Parts: sequence; C-alpha cells; structure tokens
Amino acid sequence: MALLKLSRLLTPGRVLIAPGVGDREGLFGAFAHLFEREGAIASAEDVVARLAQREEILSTGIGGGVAVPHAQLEGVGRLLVAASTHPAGLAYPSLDGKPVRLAFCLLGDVDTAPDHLAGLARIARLARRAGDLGPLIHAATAQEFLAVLAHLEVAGLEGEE
Amino acid sequence: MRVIVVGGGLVGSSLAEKLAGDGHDVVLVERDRELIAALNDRLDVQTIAGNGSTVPVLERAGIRDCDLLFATTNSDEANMVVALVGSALFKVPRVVARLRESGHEASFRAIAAGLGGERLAINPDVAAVEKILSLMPVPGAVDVVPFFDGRLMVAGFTIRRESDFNGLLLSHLRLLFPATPMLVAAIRRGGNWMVPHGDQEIRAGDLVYFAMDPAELENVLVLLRLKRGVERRVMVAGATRIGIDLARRLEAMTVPVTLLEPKRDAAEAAAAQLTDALVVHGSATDRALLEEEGGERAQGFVACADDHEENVVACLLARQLGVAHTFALVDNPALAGLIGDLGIDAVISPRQLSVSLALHFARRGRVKAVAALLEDSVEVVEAEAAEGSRLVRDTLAEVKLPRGTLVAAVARGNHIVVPRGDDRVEPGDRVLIIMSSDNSGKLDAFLEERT
Repeated sequence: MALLKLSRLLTPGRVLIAPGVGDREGLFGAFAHLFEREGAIASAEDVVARLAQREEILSTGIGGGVAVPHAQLEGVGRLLVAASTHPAGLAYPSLDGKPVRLAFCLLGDVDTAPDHLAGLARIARLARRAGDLGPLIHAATAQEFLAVLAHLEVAGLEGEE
Repeated sequence: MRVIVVGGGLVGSSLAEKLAGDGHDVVLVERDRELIAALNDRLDVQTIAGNGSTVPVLERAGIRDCDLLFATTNSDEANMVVALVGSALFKVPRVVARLRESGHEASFRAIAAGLGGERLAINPDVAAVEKILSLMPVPGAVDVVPFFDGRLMVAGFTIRRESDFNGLLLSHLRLLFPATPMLVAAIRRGGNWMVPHGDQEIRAGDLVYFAMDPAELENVLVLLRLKRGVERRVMVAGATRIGIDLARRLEAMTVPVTLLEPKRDAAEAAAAQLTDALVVHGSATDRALLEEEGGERAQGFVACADDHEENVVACLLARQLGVAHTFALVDNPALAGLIGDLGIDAVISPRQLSVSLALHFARRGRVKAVAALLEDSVEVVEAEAAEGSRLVRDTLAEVKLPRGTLVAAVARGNHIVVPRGDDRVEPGDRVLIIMSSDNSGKLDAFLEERT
C-alpha cells in the first residue's frame, strides 16, 4: 500500500490562503463552496451540516494550531482534501484552547474510509511538528503552500519513510 | 480464604504466588524436595513436601478447613485422585483439577456431578487451541481477548515503521475514532511497559494493546498496515494433542491443513484421526521439507511440538520462508520474553492459560474476566461495580486507585464509554481495569461492598 501523501491529494485550487472567514462555521462554508464549485459534491449545505455534526461529537481542533474538520457523506467516490491557512489565527474550539492557524478538510465516503483514517493520522502527526509549520502557515500562495508541504512530507513524517 | 495448591510446577507455583498476593492463606504441596527448596527461595508461600494425593499429607496442609483446592501436578491421574479425595472425603467446596486427556475430563465431570460443591476441570491443551483459533483471524496480533461479552476487544500489535500509528499521540486517537471506544490499554517499549496517558506517542517497535470496538478491527489493521490474509493453507508442526486438535478444528472450518510430525508412528496415528489434512512425516526444522510442502505459500504456521525451543526455531524458519503469520507454543516465560522482536506473531503458553483460567475461577465474584498481558506483568480485569463499593463512591480521580491502575472503559447498559477523571462509576456498571499484576491483590478493596 503506497503511503498517502497530502501534497499529492491537494491541488492549488483547494488551498485557501488566509481566507476571510471569521469563525469555524465560516471556514466550513468556504470549504464546502469550494468543493461545490468544482462539482465534487452535490450540496454545500449538506457538507456544512455534516462537518458541524462531526464537530459536535468532539472538536477536530487537535491542538498545536491545527484543525481537521472531516465528514463522511455518500457518493463522494474518492477522498477530497482541502486546506486553509490562518496566519492571524481563527477562533476554533480546540483541545489546547489555542486559535487555529492551519486547517485540513477531509471528505470521503464508506469506500474511502481507510485513506480517510490514514489522512487523519498523517495530519495528527504533522500537527506535532510545531517548529516546521511556520512556513506552511505563512505561505503567500497556494503553490508555495504545496511546495512546503511536499518538502515536509519528503523530509519524512516522524521519519517513517 | 484457605487455599491448597497441589503441584509446584509452573502452573501451581504461579497460581500459589498470585493467590497469596491476593491476600489468601495459601499452602503449596509438592513431592519433589529439590523443587520445594527452590520454591521456598522464590515464593512467599507456605510449602509442604509430600505426596498430595495421600490423606495424611493433605491433612497436614489443612484440607479440613480448605475453601479452594487446586490439583495442578503434571499427572492427570494424580490430579484426579487429589481432586476426588478433596471433594468426596473432605467436602472441599471448590475444587479445580488440571486434566489434559479429554477422557479424564469426562470421567472427572461424571464422578464430580454427584458430589456437590463446585468443580472445574481445566484443560490447557483445549485452552491453547481456542487461543490459537481466536488469534488466526487477526493477523499480526500477539493476543486477542474479548471483554464485555464480546463488545470490546483487547488486541496487542507490534507497531511497524510504516504504520500510521507510528508517531501518533495517544490523545489524537479520538480524532480518528470519535464515536467508538478506542484506547491504548498498555504499551511495552524496550523491556518496560507503561499504563499510557494522552501525552505519549506510539512509536515503531512498541507493542501496543488497543481496547476497541471489534467493528473497528478492519480500520485498525489498515492503520497498522497489516492485511487480513485470505484463507490459505495452515501448517501445523507437531502431532501432539494440541496439534491434532487444532488440525481437526481447522478441517471443520474447511481451512486446508498440513500437519508435520517427525515420528513415523505418531504421524500415522494422526493421519488416522484426520480426514482432509495432509499429514507429512518429517521435521518442521527441516528447511528443505518446509519448502517442498509449500511453506512459503502458507498463510499460517503453528508450532505445537512438545519441545518448545524447537517451536521457536521452526517458526523462525517459517518466517524466513515467507509464511505470513507464525505462532509458537512456549511455556517458559524467559524464552517467551526473548521472542518479542523475532517476528513471530504470537506465543501461546498452555500453562499460562491454565493459570488464567484457575485464577478466574478463584477470584470470580465481582471479577467477570481477567487477561494477563506482557508476560504476565499487566492484568486486564473486567468487574462489576457493587453498590456501596469504594469504586462508586466518588469521581474516578478521587477514588484513588493504586498507582498504575486505570479504569479504561465503563459499560453501562448498551453503551461503552472511556471515562475521564471527573466521571463516576455507577453501581451495576461493568468496568475494564488495567493494572500492574503486582496490584491485583489490592483490587478487591475497591470492588467489594463496604459496610
């Protein structure tokens, strides 16, 4: 099984650099509309509702300034990934109470569950590398963000490669 | 409680040690004086040298006031006599006999049925076969134990470098599994084990025991980067009682089986007892033979010979040939402890399983199930929380369980939750407790009703 690489699942169009959103719900809306515009999902409202539902069980603000909103909805067909940066910090309930500066949104269905879990694990491990995240958070463009992320992934997450 | 253990071998001595640790008044009877001397050096238990199947020796051990009698010598016949003398002559209320021959087991049950009291026959070979069969569907697991009537599974895995768990913080497990119980019950790193807390990370090489909803097994295997094997041939080495019984059970499950046995007469006898299994006369440590019999294509290899060191060698050879999963019978805890990093999936100890079963019988009451992990240094206990017990009197943080003891999960009605320090256990809840084996004697004080 090939290792899942976030930098390969993301495209420049799916990286939101410092979007003008005020809170968690605003961010969910931005991700959902992005996927809707691409035609990757049917209804943005549905995605926002599912992301909020998942958040009710336990916040996906996992600490270290990273959040991973995610949801499963029928018929997505493949794992959809988007990312956002928030250099000024976004109000987002998190386990350590700190504002979120980096978010990854994962959408999948039952068939993509293995990749979905592997993706969550990968982001959770990335979140622990606080010292390496600065260049990601402050990337000026989506291209720069992807280049930095690819570099981080090649450099090895926890050295497992 | 007054306990007599007859037979000071691995089973009897560890049983005596554990029950003495629980605070019971234990007498160990053993006829071999040299063994007695060695036990006296090692154990804090009263010992008596003598033949435990004779009335005078049993009387010296205090059989008249005995509440619980264990017959755990290496001989089925001796165990039968001890158990029946204790039951019939001295009316000991609870008696456990270790019997390996199924015919003996049946006779014991038939005779004991007319005697009143509680009798238990423990068959280590049957327990070993059950354990192997429970491990086979879970590739890579060193152990699998069900709790809460099968609603929670404790399974131990060695973390590979490429596993998605490698480098994951324990507190992040809930991100991956927010809605189902999922926690790490114990971790062994290097020679040490620890009761985990959220700030710890999982590392490559760790042996990690997960407590999980069995429905999540597939997902956990994905993250471990282990694949469920298709039903392919299983090789069994050794036409011992365990080997033959295992082959027969696999036959019944329509799994193709090859049974290897180095002694011609034993191989022939085994062939007569089996229908579909292929019985091959030869040694499991003979590389050429393993290759010839298609060892490299086998899904599983189970070494069941009486020589446990040979079992380890045979498994290592099978691993080298590319067999996906290997299992070895090993009773010697020192040998079992060395095997961790050699790539053998699981080590099964019939003796250790006997001790677990006997202990469970002895402790029964509030305790519903017990599993010993990590060469017996950690115990996982399922118990019922009694009304008025210390456990239900306050929040978990305030209950002050012994150091290194963790209430890992609580089953209340249909729900299983992972509690936090400010949660309370309610009377009638089932709890899953993880603790150092050294503390097992202290648990009763928390579970029992207090006046």
